[in-house]
Amino acid sequence: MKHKTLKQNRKWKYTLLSVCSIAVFLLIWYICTDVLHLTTPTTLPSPVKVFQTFFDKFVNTKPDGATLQTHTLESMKVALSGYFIGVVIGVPLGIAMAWFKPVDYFVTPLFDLLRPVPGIAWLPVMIVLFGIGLLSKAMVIFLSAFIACVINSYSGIKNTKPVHLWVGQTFGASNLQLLFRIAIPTALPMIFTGLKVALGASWNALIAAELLASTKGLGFMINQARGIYRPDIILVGMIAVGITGALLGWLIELLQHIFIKQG
Amino acid sequence: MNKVIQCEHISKTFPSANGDFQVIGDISIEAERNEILVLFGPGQCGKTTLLKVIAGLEPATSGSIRINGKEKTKPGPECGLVYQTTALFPWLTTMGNVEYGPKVRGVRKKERRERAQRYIDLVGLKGFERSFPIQLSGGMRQRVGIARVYCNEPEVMLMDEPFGHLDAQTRYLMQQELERIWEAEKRTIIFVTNNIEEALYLADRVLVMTNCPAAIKREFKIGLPRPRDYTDPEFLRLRQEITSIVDPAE
Amino acid sequence: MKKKKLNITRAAVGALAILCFLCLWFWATREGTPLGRLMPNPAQVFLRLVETTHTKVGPLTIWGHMLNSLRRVLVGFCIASGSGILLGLAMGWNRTIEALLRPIFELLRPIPPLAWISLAIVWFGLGEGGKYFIIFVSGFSNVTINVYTGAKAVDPELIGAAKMLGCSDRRIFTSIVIPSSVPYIFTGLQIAISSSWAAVVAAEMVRSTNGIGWMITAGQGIGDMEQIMVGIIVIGVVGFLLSTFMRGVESKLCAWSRVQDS
Repeated sequence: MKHKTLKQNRKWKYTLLSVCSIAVFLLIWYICTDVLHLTTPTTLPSPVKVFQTFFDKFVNTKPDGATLQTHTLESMKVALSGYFIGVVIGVPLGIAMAWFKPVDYFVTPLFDLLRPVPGIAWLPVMIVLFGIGLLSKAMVIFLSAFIACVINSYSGIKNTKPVHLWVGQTFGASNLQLLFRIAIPTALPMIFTGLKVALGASWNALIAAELLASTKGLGFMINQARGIYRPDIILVGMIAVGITGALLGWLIELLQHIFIKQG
Repeated sequence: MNKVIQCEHISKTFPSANGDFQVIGDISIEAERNEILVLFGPGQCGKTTLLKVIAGLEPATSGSIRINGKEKTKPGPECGLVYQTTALFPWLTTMGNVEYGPKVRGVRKKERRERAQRYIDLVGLKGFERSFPIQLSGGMRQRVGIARVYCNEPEVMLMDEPFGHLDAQTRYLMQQELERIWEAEKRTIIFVTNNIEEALYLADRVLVMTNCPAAIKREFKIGLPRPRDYTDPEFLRLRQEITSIVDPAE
Repeated sequence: MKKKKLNITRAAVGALAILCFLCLWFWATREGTPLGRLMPNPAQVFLRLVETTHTKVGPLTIWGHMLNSLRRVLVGFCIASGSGILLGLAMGWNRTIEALLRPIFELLRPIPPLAWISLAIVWFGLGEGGKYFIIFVSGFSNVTINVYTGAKAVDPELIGAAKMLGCSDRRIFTSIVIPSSVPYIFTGLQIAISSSWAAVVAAEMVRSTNGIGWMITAGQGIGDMEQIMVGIIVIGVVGFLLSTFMRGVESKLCAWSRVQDS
């Protein structure tokens, strides 16, 4: 009995430390800005101002032409369209490359040429080809998501334990049956990891793309705010980006729990 | 009276959500210098924990442990433990693993290298000094585990079913190897096993253990000459007698 | 013998694939097609690439741009790795530090590295500091997480074995935790080097006067597709070399941990 409460006590102590740590962080921020005025409002705004601006932005379309929700939805629209296409093409391709030798031998070299180029680097090409608009940004995001999905799906299938495949073969399973009944189910955790990594890459690429070529969206909002010396809007934008990204990530984890019965 | 180690009234209880779980009852063990004492018992209950308690890696709920008269409460080089899983440091070579004890205890490089080489040769791994554990077979890894503890020159060597994970052939081989090594350099060994042949092959004394909570059922003195013959009539008779009094495994 | 044969087949098919790709590229950008008006064919890009080695693109030749980009990525990467390894080890080993620092880390982690660009410009102006900061942010998070996982995953049996052999409590960290975490450190470093390289490109695209990222944005500005394509090729090649180098270092230092299928 005594041992149990000791362990519980330790856990509470650490939770308390964590909460205090965040509180202290905010407190130091507040003191540096509103109390000691160590920074100007144009470099680092106080947390109070950020908090106010955050809620203000839900209704105020100034100074960049849209509310926070509108910007967020706009960003999500672009990001998710590129992301979905990247997943829909990337995951099956990765699986095919790992499973079918001819596909592996032919496609992998080409993929290895594409892989080291960051998605965002393709933006100028896409702009010249498709102009400034949703399509060029979506293409950049598609590439970012696609690459991550292929890599992880490929790894997942390649890591199928030979033992499991041998068991399937002794039951007379065909090649396709082995793929769909054994290889893909065991690769699902890695495929979902790929979905999460791809989401992070897409979201990252989107923000940069919007900085460079957009009139709407969170990246645009952040960039505009810089030009008019409103770092509080920059921080609000960054927070909104972070929260949205985190929520989408949790959604994928939820899907993972539904699709994968085992941890 | 040459008692190297004296454990008195050791008990161990683990607290758990469903109430306390007593793993070790009331055990008192003594071993003399250079004797091989085998703790023999079925199942997985208590024996490993007992060795960990003796080694100081787990605190005893009650009881005391004395090495050469001095009380022992923390893990240290006076009690070396050979793990069932070998627990070798994967980033070190054979030489690195074997010389680790002397190294962290401050022995100079030249001396500890020589010492380590002696024990690497003793366990039959000459030539494998620069291999990593991942490159060695199970039996070879266990030899490194034994050499590493030997090299640290402990008062007592504790061996926790060291050959449990090996195939039958290698197991026989390792039993004979250990016997040869011990003959060449005598040490006090407390050896845990659930294999009766292994127990009788190695032991000067066998303590038959009960199941959970672990306690000593009976003691057998084994007077057979070494190296022992698995088919010797006395060997077989002892085997029959001990097997008949052992608790069934849970 | 069989393995060697397979490797030759693999290389041959690979070469064939690249050849097909180049032919496709040539065909798609031939005279008169809409794509042909917008994009150069492979030969033009190659010639342009050679030309940039001795002709300036903006302020520097391609070598100058490459060196600037490399300098930025290496500085940022080193700062990110150093601090990430320190923080990851500290959080993984010491529960107080974990309780204190992890919440702040987890709050900042969901923010995509490139979202920091605007803030970096506000704080550091248009100079190099801002770029180093972005590259640092890109690499830091991954390194920390991987090292943290590694430090937490140290096998307690190894710690017990070390103590049993006579290792003092203070030395356990350097003697056991750090070597045990090395494979995890390298996993983090591998991811970090590619995200750092991507960050350099992005940072240079947004705000720079030289570097490969600048080169492709400048190309877009004047409608020079060849310049853009040359830039992309160089980005790809350097990115590939950086990853390969990292993998080489890892296989040397982590030879002991190659997991074998049993």
